[in-house]
Amino acid sequence: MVKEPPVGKNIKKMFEKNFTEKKHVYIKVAYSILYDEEDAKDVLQEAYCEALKHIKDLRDYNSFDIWFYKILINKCKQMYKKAKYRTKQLPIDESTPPTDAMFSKTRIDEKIILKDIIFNLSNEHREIIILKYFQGFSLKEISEITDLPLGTVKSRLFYAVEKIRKYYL
Amino acid sequence: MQWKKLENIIYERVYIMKCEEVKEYIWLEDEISEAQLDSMKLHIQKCEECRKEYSIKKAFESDVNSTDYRVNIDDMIFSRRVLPKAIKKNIVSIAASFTIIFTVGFIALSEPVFGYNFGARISNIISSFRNSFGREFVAGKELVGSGETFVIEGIKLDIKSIAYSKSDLSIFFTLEDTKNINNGCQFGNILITVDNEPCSYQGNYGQNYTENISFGDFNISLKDDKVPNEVQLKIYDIYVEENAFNKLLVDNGEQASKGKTRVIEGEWIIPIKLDEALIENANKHFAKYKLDYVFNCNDFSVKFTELTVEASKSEIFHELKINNESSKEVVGFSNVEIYSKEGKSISKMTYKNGRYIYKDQNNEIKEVTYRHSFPSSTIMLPFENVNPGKIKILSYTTYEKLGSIDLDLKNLKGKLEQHTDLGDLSVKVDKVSKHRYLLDISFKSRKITPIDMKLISEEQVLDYKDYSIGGREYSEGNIEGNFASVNQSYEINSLSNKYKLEIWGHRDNKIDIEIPIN
Repeated sequence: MVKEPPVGKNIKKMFEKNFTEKKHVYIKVAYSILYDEEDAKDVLQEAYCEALKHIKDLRDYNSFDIWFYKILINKCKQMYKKAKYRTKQLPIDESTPPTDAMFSKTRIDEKIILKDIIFNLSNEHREIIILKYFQGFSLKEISEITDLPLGTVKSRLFYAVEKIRKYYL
Repeated sequence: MQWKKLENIIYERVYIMKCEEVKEYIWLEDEISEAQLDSMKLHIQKCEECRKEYSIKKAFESDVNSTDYRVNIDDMIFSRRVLPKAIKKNIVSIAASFTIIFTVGFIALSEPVFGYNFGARISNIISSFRNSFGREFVAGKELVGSGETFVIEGIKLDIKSIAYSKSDLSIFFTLEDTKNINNGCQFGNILITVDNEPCSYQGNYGQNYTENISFGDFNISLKDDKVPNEVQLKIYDIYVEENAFNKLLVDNGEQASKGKTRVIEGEWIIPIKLDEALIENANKHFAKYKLDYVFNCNDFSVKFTELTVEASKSEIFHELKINNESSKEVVGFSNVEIYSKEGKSISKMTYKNGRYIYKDQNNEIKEVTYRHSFPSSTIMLPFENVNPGKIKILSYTTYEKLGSIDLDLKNLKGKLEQHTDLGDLSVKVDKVSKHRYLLDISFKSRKITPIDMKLISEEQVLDYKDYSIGGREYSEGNIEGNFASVNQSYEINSLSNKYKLEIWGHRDNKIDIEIPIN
């Protein structure tokens, strides 16, 4: 057995440390996009391996978080491209106001269950909402993470916000 | 106070925001400048509509803060998923109820197969691992090598076996002298690298209480048939619960103190040695056959490209293109058989009600779980010393809506039992409070494989609370006799609404493909 002493500047070690500290956050992001615990774990595992493979190419370690989220979100996208997610989508028709039936799942004791509302968003809108309001990234950072133009991020955000706010009216 | 008033007037005069602009800024509060923020707040004070928008945003923010996506990540290393969910949903839950879970890419059979005695029963974990690797059951010696023993802070980690075939590498380890405590000793993180490249792995972890052994395995897929030069298992930190071990096997090791978890911080690199004989034997048991066959039907077109046969499996590679106009999702080929040049069946796989049933060369029926990577390949039992002559595919599986049932809950007292052409439905209603009901729905079938249900009310699909799939124990030889079931529970507010239940799942579709192997 070889025991490697921890080396402060070892970028892989830093990655490990950072990952260990934040893996609970990463898994929640993956889960909040995929809504499937096992898939979220698979995605995180793959993102972790992918990140380790390419960590040496990361020039500025300060941007690690955005870089890792980018990998994670890409992996989520690959996952929901798989056939089963096509059947899992439950989009809400914009023109349909919330009905009692919808509230039977979105309201319990008059409290809005935000998770359900977000679940009903499409994948591309959901990921923007999660990154913006749950993870606190700026629009510019989200644009970097998702590889989308800033304008697209903004328009997707407002489209998603428009859908969400209907539940609060 | 006066100054503040003056400041407001200046802002208003200099920059009066319009409602549209404010509504946008409200949702981007953390990204706008201080001046924009002040101006927005001024506007909100005076505009009732924007005040309402602001309160919506605040309510949303408060919900965001109180929303917790609970995911249990602590089990990610040891009780790692054995199979990806897609397959897990279909197979593992059912297989688990049979108390047989097979590790990916392995065949763990306790009965003789192909005339070889695959040996020991699952209770003898170590020999079962040795005996479970592939067909070549001389294999304990030929395809499975031994590892080494390592001691980490008094904990004895034994790499018992390393199994190698051209596309798979598996490592089996034990932690000795563990007590009857679930997950008493866990690794903080595991990384497997092949030639310094990190690999995604599958694995399983368990305990044998009678033998005081914790055990686990890791399985990785090797790419491009390339023999790895260097494989390393890296362990980062170890968590030991109180009384996880009867005693630590080396004097300087410490037990966890009472009621606490002992965290042993560190990074340990365990070399996984593949000796030459192991590699040579894996090469010897490897064959590739080029296929060139195209098949078209309404749901898809497919081109078969290759058949590979190795120690742990045989695999048919294909390129599949789903027809966009088809409403069905093609899940996989479900009745596949490989014949020898002499016309003898040498490998057969049938997918039925969530399980893959295999027939070996002695016509014995077995149940094995493989990680299928459909649409790119179909995995079969391995075979040896036989020249394959042709592949026959007689059915493919689709995921689709299988039927729907109208539910009348208004007059329901207690339980509803309904027999349909597809299977048996059972609905149980419990009143939770004045306006809340808990609905338990179960659907089981011997004809189809139900995987999902959608409860629809007023054209909206309701979200379920709990979900499970299951099945009855498989009795050997009785492929048709088993059933598959899906259970879901819902919380609903009213029984008087109209409810419709859609049953979604797998259906077998007949085809007739015969692929010659030259």
